Amino acid sequence: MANQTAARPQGWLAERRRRRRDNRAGWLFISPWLIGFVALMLGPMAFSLIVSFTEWNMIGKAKFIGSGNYVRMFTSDPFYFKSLWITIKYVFLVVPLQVVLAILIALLLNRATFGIKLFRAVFYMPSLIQGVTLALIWSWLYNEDFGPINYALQLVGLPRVHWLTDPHIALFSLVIIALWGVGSPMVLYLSALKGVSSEYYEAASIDGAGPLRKFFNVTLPLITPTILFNVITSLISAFQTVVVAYVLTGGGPANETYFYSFHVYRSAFTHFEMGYSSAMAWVMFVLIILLTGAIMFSSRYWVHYEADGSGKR
Amino acid sequence: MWNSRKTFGLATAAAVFAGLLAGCGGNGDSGQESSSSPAASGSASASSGEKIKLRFMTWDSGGTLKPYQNAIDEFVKQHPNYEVKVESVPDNYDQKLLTSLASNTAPDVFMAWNFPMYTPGGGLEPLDSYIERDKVDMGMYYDIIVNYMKYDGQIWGLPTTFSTRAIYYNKKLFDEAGVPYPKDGWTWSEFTDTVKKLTKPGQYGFISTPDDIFTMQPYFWSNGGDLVSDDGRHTDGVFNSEQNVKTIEFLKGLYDVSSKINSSGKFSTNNGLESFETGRIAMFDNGMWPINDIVKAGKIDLGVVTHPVPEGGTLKGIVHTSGYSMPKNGKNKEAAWELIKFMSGPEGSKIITADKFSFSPVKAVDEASGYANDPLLKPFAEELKNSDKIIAGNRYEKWSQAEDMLKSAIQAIFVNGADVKSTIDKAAKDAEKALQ
Repeated sequence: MANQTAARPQGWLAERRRRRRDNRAGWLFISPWLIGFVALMLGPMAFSLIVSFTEWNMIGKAKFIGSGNYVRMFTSDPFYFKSLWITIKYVFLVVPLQVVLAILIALLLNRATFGIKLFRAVFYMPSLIQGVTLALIWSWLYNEDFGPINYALQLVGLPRVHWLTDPHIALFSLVIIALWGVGSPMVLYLSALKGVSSEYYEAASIDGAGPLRKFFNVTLPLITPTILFNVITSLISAFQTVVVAYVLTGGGPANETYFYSFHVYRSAFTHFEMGYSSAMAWVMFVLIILLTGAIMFSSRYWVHYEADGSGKR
Repeated sequence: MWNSRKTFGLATAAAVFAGLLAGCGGNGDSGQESSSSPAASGSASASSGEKIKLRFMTWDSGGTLKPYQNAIDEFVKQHPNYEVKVESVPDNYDQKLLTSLASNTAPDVFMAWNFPMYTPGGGLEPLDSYIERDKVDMGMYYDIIVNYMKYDGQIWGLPTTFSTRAIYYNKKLFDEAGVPYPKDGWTWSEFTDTVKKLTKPGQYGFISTPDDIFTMQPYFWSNGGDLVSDDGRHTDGVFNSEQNVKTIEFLKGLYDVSSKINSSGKFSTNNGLESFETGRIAMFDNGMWPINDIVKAGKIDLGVVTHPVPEGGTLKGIVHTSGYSMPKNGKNKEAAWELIKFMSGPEGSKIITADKFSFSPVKAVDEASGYANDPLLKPFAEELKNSDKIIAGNRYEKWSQAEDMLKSAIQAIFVNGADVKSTIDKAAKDAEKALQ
């Protein structure tokens, strides 16, 4: 690096030119992403912000109604807080369960056993199935009369469970489906575990730490950056859950799985109220940003970055 | 150097700006997408000369698309200078239609039923002046079907086909249980009893769902009630009427003894039909469309009966129908009108309704086909006789929000066992607000 700079003309002007040239290359390299971001994200987002202050059914002229949509969701929409509450329950069930389960499986798969590669593949594979396909598979697994889960329960003498039609159970059934995708975070934890230097464990052993102690005092702190990343990504995706409700429950029974995003979707594409739907989407956007910000802020108290050499920041 | 940098900056700015524009026109893009992905292509018989090209959009696909395709083929045969491209959109039809209307890329002719939803904003062409000019005899259609084509004092489509709903039953399962076959004019309590008798482990008498108040309408009407006032603007005093309390109590009782396996989700109707065809469900509420296929397959011994009526009530069936419409900004409205006239008229509707697919909206065609005398189709004709109401969704444009509130009330009563009177009182008042 030093040699290269030395070979170039000296002086601050030349240095600035060189930087400019480098910058240009940089911009060019990220331009596919940048153009996509502006055209497919930023533009529509700005558009939806404008729409959120109007009443618009897509064909007619949009009517500006100021903050009317925002007032409506907090004052006169009987489904708004219900859907928000259901979504919050879902998020607070899915995110912690996913983190714990993913770490546990990753720990198991981090051992050097015969056929471990096969096991890793097997545990990762389910997360390749997503979306509508996944929901349809579960619609059969959960089928109350002919589904394999209830069949198995009956074989051992247990009563059938109304997985998707009992208002007290349906939401939990959807949580279980979300845990199906645990393979993706699991892989990240696995690579984080591989990154923990064996020196730490040796040192801990010398100090007389047992396996549990090693896990909580060595392993866990060292994979906290991965935990932070996973908590944030799974929080966002849990907030945006809509497909399972759309395909499996239709928001029922008795609206017990009527997620916020589903309400947004239905307002737009069943009621064709683009303005109201956009307004609700923006409130969710702000909510997710606030929650993510709170987690990022809290991370300085529990996330360790090894590179700092100083433990907690 | 300076120059090239400037050029680059400009290019970037241009790209960003173009992106913004593309983003803002997002709805236009998706409209084009919908129209450029036809699932089925039309046929062209003649080849020479300047062709008049039309696009025709329907939600039908596969087997149910065939009847319409047959009629279009005949139209093209008679009008060799036309070329009609059929676009089949089985999913999210309303969404595709509205986006294409918004971006002026709508097909020249499309099937439509929810006129209160499409007409505000002026996306559709009213057909009154065409009908008057060409002296189309609206009297050739059933009156109630014509009512479905009207909204806000204008006619927005010419009728396609129609079917009422009735109850299918599996004769073999009745024989096994030693239960006599149901007869037209049977009562609500007989219905509930029959469902109970036909339910045993692995088999249900009926599928009942709290999620679909559309199919509950015949019960409300037959008992002298309704979901919403005739003008579609009031639920308070209508939905929470004394008659409706009785109707909902009956429906709740029916729900309690019925299968709940298919009460959820988007694919419920098909799952229900499948459950019926495999003998897991003894009775099934549906339109007439698949009857001929079921008979041809010969897997079950099928019977059909009208909806049960309350003691002293009059049977009032529900009608599924739709119209052929065109967009206000269509490029070829005269040609589109020719296609619409043919498809809806005696000739087109005769081709479409052949093979017992559905009834024709043209009375003379129905009389000639004699479907009303077919033992399996007779109950569907009976359902039409005293039917004088159009579905709640076709009365007023704000219905869908109100419907969600009424539906939630029904769900709370069915699923959570909520008190009937107080629950529908509250829902009727909430929905009344949504309709204002």
